[in-house]
Amino acid sequence: MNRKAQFDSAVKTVYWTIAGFVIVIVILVFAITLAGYKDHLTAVPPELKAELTSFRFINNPDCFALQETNSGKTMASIIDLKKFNQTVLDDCYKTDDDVIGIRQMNFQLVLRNFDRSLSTNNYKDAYQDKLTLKEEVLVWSNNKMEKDILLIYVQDI
Amino acid sequence: MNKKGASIILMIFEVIVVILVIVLSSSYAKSLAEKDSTIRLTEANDLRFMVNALVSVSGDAIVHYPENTSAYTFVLGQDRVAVFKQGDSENNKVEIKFFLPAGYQASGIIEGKPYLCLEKSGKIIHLRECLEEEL
Repeated sequence: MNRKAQFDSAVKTVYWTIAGFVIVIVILVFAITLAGYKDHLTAVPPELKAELTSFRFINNPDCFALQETNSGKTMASIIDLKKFNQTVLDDCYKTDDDVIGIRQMNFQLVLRNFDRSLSTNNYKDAYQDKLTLKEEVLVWSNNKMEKDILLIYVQDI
Repeated sequence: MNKKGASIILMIFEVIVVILVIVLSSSYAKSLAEKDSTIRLTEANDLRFMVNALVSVSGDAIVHYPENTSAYTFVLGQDRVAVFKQGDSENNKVEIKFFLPAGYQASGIIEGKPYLCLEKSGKIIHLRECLEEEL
């Protein structure tokens, strides 16, 4: 083999070493990207998840929604202030009393004008809220209706 | 072999390598996209949301799930929904938790049926096959 052929052979070896390395990197990056894409495909927007779970607070008479005593009619988005207490909240939404419960969605509800606040059993002040929902509500208190904002702080670890 | 001939062979080899990488990557992507764990997870999530939505309704209601569900078995329990295929191992079973208000009950099994309905009647949420008039 002459010197030129030796040089060509060395160049090819270097070329394919680099090319092989790059190809492996490309395949790995592609695989990781696809795995991430799969997670992205099954991901649910946290707002949707939180809204669908928290609607019960203002729409369900077993939670805080006002229910007429005579007709039994439920008034959606109207909060009965008498019901706005920890016992009703615990009956309405309670996660498991263990680590699994902490990893589920937890809420703190604040009636802004009435300055009342309640938290679900695993809502931790030490954890950061993921998002805050604002619901315009009416509050039934002392036989009169008042406008208020229900702030729902959501934790979802 | 002259220089031109060697260069053509090298180019053909490079093209083959590139085609091989594309084919391998595409088949991996296709297998991932068709993997039914994604579908199971999506359907279990949807059912959980349907249960939560029904809990937020003050009266009675029926919801029809707008997908063909005949490939799977769905089990609605008191605090979870499970989606799997008959004969699946525990690892392939997708389970998602939810929390019902006190006094509420959720139940139902549906297996290999194309139309799935969730019905809320009072404080009971039942998973069942849809009736014809509900479709």
